[in-house]
Amino acid sequence: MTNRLETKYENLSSIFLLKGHDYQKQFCHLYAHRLAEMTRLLTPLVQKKWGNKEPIKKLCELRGEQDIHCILIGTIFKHQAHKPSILRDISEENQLAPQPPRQNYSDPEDKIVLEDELQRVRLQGEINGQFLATGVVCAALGGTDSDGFFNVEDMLFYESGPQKPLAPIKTSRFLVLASGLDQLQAHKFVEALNLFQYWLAGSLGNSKEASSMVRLIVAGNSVRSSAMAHVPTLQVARTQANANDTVQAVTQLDQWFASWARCLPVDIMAGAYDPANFMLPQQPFHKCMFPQAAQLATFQAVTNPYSCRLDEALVVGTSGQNVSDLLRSTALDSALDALRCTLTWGHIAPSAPDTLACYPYIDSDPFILRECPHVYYAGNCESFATELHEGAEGKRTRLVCVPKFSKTQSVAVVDLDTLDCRLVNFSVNAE
Amino acid sequence: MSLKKALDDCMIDFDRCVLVTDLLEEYKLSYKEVNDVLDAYIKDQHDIKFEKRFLVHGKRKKQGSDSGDDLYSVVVEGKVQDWLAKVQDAESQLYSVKIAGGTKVPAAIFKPMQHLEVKLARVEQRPGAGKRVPSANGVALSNGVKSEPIKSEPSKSVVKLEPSKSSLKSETSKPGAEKSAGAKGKSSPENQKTSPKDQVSKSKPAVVKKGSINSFFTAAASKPKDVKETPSKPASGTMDNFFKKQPAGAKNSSPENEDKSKKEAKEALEKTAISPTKKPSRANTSMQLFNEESAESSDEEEKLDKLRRKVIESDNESDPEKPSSSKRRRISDSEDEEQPPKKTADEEVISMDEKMDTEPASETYLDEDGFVITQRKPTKAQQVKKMVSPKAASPVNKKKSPPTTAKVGKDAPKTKQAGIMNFFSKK
Repeated sequence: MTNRLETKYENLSSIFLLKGHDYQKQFCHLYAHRLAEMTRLLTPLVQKKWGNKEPIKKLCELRGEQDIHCILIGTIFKHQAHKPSILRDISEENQLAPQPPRQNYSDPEDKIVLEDELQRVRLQGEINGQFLATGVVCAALGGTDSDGFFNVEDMLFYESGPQKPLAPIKTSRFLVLASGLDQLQAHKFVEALNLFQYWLAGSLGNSKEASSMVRLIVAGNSVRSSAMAHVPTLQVARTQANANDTVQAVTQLDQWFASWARCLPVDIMAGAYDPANFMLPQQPFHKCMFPQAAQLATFQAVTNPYSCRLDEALVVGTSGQNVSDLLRSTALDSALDALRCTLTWGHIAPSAPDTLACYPYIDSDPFILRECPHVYYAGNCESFATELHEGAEGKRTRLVCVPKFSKTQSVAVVDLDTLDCRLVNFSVNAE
Repeated sequence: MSLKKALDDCMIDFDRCVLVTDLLEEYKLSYKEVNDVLDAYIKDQHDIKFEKRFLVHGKRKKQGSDSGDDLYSVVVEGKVQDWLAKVQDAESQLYSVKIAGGTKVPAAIFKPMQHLEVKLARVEQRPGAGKRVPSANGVALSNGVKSEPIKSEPSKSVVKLEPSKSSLKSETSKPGAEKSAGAKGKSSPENQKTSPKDQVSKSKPAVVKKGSINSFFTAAASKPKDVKETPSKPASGTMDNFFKKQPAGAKNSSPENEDKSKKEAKEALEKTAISPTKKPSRANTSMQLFNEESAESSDEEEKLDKLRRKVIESDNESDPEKPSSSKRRRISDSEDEEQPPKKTADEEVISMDEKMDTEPASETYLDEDGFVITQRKPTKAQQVKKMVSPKAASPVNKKKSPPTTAKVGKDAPKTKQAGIMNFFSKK
């Protein structure tokens, strides 16, 4: 029997823990703080890239004058004709049958607007609007024209700030990323789950590798990985049945987690369909939900988004809501692209609070990536995808789209030294 | 017992699917050891045909990537060779065994693993976890109430933490204190016991509140002392108070009914004093909540109730010939007396209708660029303001009323007649 490798661990998610629950506030504060904070972070980068020749101006300073060449820092607003709007639904409900919700409401005709504290201006030129999202803060270099447009020549994003270099350590340390355990449907892949747990324990002839696994992060949707089916008839009975199913699923999960936490540290994040709060940041599951697992210090329920440091490696990730929302509102093809974009934009969830529910913060925006992570993941993706993103100044970030376990029976393993990532699949092939 | 011995002794039933992972849990062996022993056993059983499934492990290379995916796949015996050829660095081990054509395979139930090949150096229990977990209920824990603090010092927090219990206890103890000594004697000894909670509720709040609102009422009320001693009142008492709080008109003001209700209240009080143990079973949750709320300001409410009772009694005594106001009577009365309030109601309806007419004052539409634009027309709003004051309304405005009254007739059939009458009378 071998001992598992240990790492220094630091939970950096305290910024995502809600101190109060005041839902009466407007979201303008969040946007205002985002713009102010990111303007402060972007200004030195702007000066570094474009020099001091071009002035950074506010929109109100342009005063409608033409041919002013300058830099604007503002928040992108994407005017989308197909964006779901409750107001439009109400106004149209008398005339038209309700339209089915769109899977993607991006359109080439979408208009890109840059907003600062006071005003807004339409952008055109060197800008690919389809791949931008509302809420992204950027700096745009360009000039005004007679039509009131701002002709963009170049754009600059924050790119998630500086990154601490990883100290070379000879021994491999693996971080295991799983998501979408979907305990309610676990009977369909229980053998894969069984294999997975013995693989974690190093029982499948992989004890050497298992001893290097330093942590398991379960990135959401452990209880359920899809929306609850609403049956119109027998509503009460169905709701009751669903509630019972959920309780049973949580109880079973508790047993699994308690068992896993005896062999390695386990962090559980809430997901979009888990019995947790809906708005980002999702708060940790209450320990009463997992009475057995919660006894162990190696088990912890954490926030979504989650940020921690394992030795020197900064690990940041979500349960995937940010990525799936971007895939709806932009023309981005894959979850990996969306994940990369959020890293480039320096913001975990730019579409919050516009199309992604989020707590109405009034004094901060906790979703700004102030330090570039070494591992950046999104859970509950349709398939596994990974890429080593190399940013400015030699920053390296391992992007990981963690697949749903319920669908792929797979987990991702990241080497915290080399930032290599691979998929481990547990499949059962019948006849 | 070792696995080999168990196999030799036919202790393992291969009629059902036997998993290697189950065996390694049971016999605390490594996967390889179980595989070897089981494989050897199966090879020895020449006359029995087994259905075997294998766990194939290997790497599946992907195009364009250096490191392939790790693959752990459970495959049937016939396809093992295919899989071994398909993946790199492949190796296979037994995963499950059962007698071919055996019983129907039941649904697999997997347990969380216990046997660990790789362990944490130390598995720490979360501080305080041992205390919490034994009682799965969590109610008592969340309350944080333990016998020790209650016994040692009955503090205010104790009362707050167990409001329902304390209220129930005080319910039972109150009549004993309030009623005569005979009633006290009849009450059970359990109820006679004054728990620390009761002591707190009896002594502390009374002392604290004496100086506040109570002192004000003590000047007005002459007999509050025995009431003060009772920290809270029984459920029936609170319900009685609740009805007392209703406006006098809403209550049956006939002396017979009064007497009846008084008698019932007295009986209820006596019952609580005589058989207080019955109380909790009768009291529903809402009553308990009611009591919980009332428990804190019980003294003040007691006194207020006393005062109210006195006032009500004095009212009834002053005009005993007052006719009983039954529902029917009131309805008929209201029909007769409808005229004056009807007028105001009509005016309200008219103004509301006019508001409704002026409601689409703002227009919302999409412009050429697709922006949602809302335009407001302030002139109509001003009209609305004018209309609201019906007395000052000009005859031109009043002419508008006929269609609105027609609307009213549709919406509120009750006021139809009155509305029409008004209309003609004004004409």
